[in-house]
Amino acid sequence: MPEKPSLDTIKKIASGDNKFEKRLLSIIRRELPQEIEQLNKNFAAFNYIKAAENVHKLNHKINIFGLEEGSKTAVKFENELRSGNCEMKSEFEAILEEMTRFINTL
Amino acid sequence: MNCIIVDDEELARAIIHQFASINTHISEANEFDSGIAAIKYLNTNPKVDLIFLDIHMPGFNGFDFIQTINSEAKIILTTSDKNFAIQAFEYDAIVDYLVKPITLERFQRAIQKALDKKPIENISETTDEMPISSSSDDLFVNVDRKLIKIDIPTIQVIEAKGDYILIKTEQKNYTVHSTLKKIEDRIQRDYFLKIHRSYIINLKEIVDIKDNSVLISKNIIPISRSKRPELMQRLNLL
Repeated sequence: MPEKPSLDTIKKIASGDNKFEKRLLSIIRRELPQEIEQLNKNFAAFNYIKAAENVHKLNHKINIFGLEEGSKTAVKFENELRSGNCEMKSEFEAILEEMTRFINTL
Repeated sequence: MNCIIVDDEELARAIIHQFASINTHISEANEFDSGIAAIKYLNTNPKVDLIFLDIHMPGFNGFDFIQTINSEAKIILTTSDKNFAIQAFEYDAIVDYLVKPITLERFQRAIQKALDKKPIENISETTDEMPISSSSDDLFVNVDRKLIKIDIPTIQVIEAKGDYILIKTEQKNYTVHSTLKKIEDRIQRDYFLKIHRSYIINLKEIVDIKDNSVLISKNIIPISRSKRPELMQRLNLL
């Protein structure tokens, strides 16, 4: 069964500060689509080095949502992209879709 | 302590800022979304005690930043990548290394390490940021408060980057506050040639020449139309 995003890490970081927790979620809601858009642009331009940088940045949010396997995939995908290989693209996009779905339900 | 947070990701900056606001040892925390913006701030606000620095930033990464700044501040690296830990130990200014997502407990430990670490001696008393020449093939450059020796023949490419130059050698790259003109005067050797307003190359390191560019190691360097005749003249053409 694929892993599901959770708020555990965000709650741990916020340490009971609800206002701060909401602020973090608000930032993710705004930044995540921007970072995905940037990644897609770099894919479209076949700029895999820049795409690898985007994946690296997105990995923080993947970790924030507690997606351990997703993070391992991100690290692997980032390295593959630096070698010019984008075979893991759809696998990585599935993680991003899951995160987007999750953030939209909050 | 006055601190600055340098990270291109707002989420990361927000977390560090929140933790900094809780910590009683930190009085002020300013945020910057790029290394260049932070350097501009440091140039006019030298009294920064601590820098939270993301390694992975587009264009100008954390290590470029460290090699460029002229500051006494201690540095805590922040990154999602554990693989840079070894490289981090090369820099005296770095007191700790935080892997994202950062927890409050780990953040507090890093602050304690910064407090415990004695101030670093300023090795270089000079305010001259130019590369310092010496005899033979040595070139000394001011990097991270140290004078680093570069063996001139190992320089492959020198690239102008605004107020800085990036010196690329086979082993390592160095970002130095200087100009191409200044370094050109210091490294006068028959195997160096300025082939573009932003590039000086080591002719011995050329792998191939194609159209209007040369390949040196993995770097593709443009050749100015006006510089191409001189380049071709200097090559041992069959």
